[in-house]
Amino acid sequence: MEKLGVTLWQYQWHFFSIICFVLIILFLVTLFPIHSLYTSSLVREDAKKILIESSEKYGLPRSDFSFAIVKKDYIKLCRRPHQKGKDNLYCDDFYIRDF
Amino acid sequence: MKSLKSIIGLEVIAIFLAVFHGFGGLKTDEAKYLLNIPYPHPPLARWIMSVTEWMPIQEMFWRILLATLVIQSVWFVIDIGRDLSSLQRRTLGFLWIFSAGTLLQAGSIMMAPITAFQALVFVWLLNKKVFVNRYSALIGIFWIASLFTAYQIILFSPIVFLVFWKTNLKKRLALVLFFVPIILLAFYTLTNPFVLASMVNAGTQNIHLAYHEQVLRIFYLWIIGGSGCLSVIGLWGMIVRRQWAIIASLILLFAYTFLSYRPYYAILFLPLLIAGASSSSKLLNSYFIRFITVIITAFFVSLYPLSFQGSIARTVANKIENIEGVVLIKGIFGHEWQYEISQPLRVHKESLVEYAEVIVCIPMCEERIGFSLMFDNDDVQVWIRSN
Repeated sequence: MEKLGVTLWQYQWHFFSIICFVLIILFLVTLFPIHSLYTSSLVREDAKKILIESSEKYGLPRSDFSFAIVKKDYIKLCRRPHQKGKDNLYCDDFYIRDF
Repeated sequence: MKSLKSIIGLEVIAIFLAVFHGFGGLKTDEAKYLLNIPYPHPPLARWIMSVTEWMPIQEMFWRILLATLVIQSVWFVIDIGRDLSSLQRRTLGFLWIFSAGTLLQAGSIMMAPITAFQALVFVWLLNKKVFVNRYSALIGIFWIASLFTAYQIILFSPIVFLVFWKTNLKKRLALVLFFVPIILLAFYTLTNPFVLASMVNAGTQNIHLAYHEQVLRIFYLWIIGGSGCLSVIGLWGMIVRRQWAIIASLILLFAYTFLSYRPYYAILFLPLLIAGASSSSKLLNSYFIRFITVIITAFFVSLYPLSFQGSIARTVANKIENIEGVVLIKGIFGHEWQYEISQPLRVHKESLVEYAEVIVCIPMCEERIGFSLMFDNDDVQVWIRSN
């Protein structure tokens, strides 16, 4: 136990730096494909429309959906029906010219 | 030996509170966390909860664990008052355990009790300079974990800032420890647009209320949080002792609850009131304080009577457990339905009826060809496909 305490103390800045580095990479990798949501109101409107239509189609609450990719001409929307047990992930591709 | 007896006694209280909350059934917010539904809070605590979805007693496990966290936190409270007399320390601990804020929240599966615990730890760290100097980066990791548990911990950021600022670290490193985790949280928030949407929703839900109603609600939370006595003693102490970081956090908490009121935020006042009360030593000498606290707590707890009914979602889930196929729900329903129903669950749409074996109507719906009524009460109807 004491050894663990010493190790934690010795390497605490390493742990802090690694956690920050991993998280920032993870968030950037997730954020980059959907950044158009924040930069284009047109894309945002398309995304909203697709989300509402998918929610209606599958009968799932909107909290079960997440955007994987959002571009001007292409959106990948994923759904994960949240219930007790394993929640499988399914994704649909939308090409904006179809709308 | 005395401490062991105290720990066991406290654990009995924690288990009682967990069972007490369990009788009322699973609430929609509790189910949201157990199922790791990705809003409104960051993912850490709800992800850890969802990892235990395989447990048949997942709900009670978390009730007991969180009740234990809040009740056993009294050891931090007693250490916060280490400069006080034994009687004063025991009174401080008593006020933590028997305030309405604790008794109404310990045992619920919510983020507010966890945030209250984390805030209490930061209050405790305020006077632990040697410890903070030695483990500053580990405390930075605890700050990241707190931020990624619930956004409300930001309300306590003046305390966290002071914890890092008072260390012997270079000021540059202290700023890194404080600000980098907040920047990380901001990045996370951008990756989840639903969080931003729910924040806007939460921040505007009280705008229809009159100004005096909102102020009254804040007053109500403050009173519940400390069951009157601790509310007054804590506020008095922080003002007289000029605990600026505590006062700043209290102002942020008042402002936040003004915008977004929830009864369960009462527990967030507790760590701040404990910090204030720990410097009002004379007022903690009286047993009368404990007596008044018990009376006021009993009053508030009586406003939330014990229910043995459980949730209607569980009743319906038990009735249809042997039916296979899609379940549709018509009407407004909470996440507890997603938690309790084991079959694939969908929102009622006419296009989905042909795939459904069960239609649950909240509170009722018209008779439908091909379905017969299985269960009916004031809250819900359950229709099953007829052969």
